[in-house]
Amino acid sequence: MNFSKDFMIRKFNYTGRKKIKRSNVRIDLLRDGNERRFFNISIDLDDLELPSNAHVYIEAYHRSGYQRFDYGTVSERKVPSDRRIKNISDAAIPLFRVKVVDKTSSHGRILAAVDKVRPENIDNIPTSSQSLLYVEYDDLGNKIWQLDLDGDWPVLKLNQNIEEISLVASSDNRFLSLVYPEVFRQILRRIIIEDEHTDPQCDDDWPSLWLQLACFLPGMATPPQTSKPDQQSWIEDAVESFCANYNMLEKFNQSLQELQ
Amino acid sequence: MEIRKFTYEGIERFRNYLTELRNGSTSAPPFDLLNDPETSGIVNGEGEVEKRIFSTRLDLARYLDHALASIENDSIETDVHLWSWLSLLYFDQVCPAQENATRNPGRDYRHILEPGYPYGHRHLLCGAYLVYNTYGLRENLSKLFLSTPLPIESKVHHELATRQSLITNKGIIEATHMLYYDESTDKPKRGVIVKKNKPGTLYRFIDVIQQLDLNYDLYSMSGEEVLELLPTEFNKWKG
Repeated sequence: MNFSKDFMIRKFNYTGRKKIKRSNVRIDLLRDGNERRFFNISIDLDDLELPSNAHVYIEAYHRSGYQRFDYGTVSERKVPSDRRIKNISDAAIPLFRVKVVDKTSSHGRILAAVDKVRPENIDNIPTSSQSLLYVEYDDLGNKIWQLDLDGDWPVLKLNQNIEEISLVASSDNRFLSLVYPEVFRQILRRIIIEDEHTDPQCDDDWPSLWLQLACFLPGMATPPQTSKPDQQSWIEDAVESFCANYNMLEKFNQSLQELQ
Repeated sequence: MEIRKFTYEGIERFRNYLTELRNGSTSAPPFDLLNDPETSGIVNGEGEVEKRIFSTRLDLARYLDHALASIENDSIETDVHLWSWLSLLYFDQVCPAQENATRNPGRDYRHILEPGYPYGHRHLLCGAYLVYNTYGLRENLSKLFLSTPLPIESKVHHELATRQSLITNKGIIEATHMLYYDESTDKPKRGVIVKKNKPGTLYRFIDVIQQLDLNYDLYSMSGEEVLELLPTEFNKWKG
């Protein structure tokens, strides 16, 4: 038994709302003959024992854009014929929310839900839905990169005005060794220090998934619960282990030698 | 005049001007950047704007909604170059000179758009446009947010527009309007934003809504239905 785990800061579910497993939802984002985006979704609700007359809604959203689709009821699912994504920039990847709502009383009560579901395929190209960090291209002024942790999922923003920035970010060893450890550090700080979340098994939302990644690194245990200095120290250990595990020093030295 | 947008050079020179102002400069706004081909270029589509006076951010949003309608751009609300150009055009209103001729521009993002969270809505022009046009609050529901003069972002706007799940939910926004806007005086009610834990005020409204959102399908509700869910501490604001 991991003693410390009993005292972890967990997010409790007091609502009685059931959780739809992320793995039970699959979304594909496609384009019709007129290049307009639409989505297909498959949802498995069978194991949740939901009332047959509860309503199923799918919501697509990105920043100010929001759309809602009525998928009928649990027992009589109906797929809307118009599933086009409107009001969301074509450059953005919308996230999806699935809600099962009891509408038998005057105010619809949520019986089950899952949020922040990413499409598994975009234009028939698989996008790892388990990805911990998404990449977006934006006008960042004079900045090369920026980490956005205030949206629904961590996003590494890259300056779209840099030639071949996509290639640089994915394969240039200088970029990899200088940027990704700092990305890792900033994410862990947000989760542990600012949001006070320390349980890697709490949820399948991004903070828990990132904590799982950190805890699986060689030499790492679960993060300390309370003391901020201990947490800072744990984060630095995690970054060191991350760098060792992914050979960051070697990568950086190699890239310098290639320059000479 | 014809609507234009800044080049990168234009943005940087505008940014330099903002820095000068923060250092106490009393220089006049560099309006020449608006038409100089090195610092500004044309936009797709035809559009004209006048250098007119706006009494509130709502007046401005209404005007820009009309003026920008013919611009061909599917993401106008994130166009840094366009909004920065517009900021300079209306700079005497968004950052008026004080008696000693200095100006107080505040942070750059109030004038040079930084799209998205957390500063996109704080651009003094684009923030108003987002409320009126993009979030679709239009004439009536925008009043609670945009009743201030151009250089002033109201606290209601600051608190609600920063929370995407609230500002994009029409029922919640209708409820805030019914609670906190006084139709008889056509102004926001007094005391909407005070201490964080004062019962019935906007901060409490946000806390309560975020709790209700876990249990209730708030997106399907009208403003009236949202009000029905609120605890009694909000009763004095209804009506």
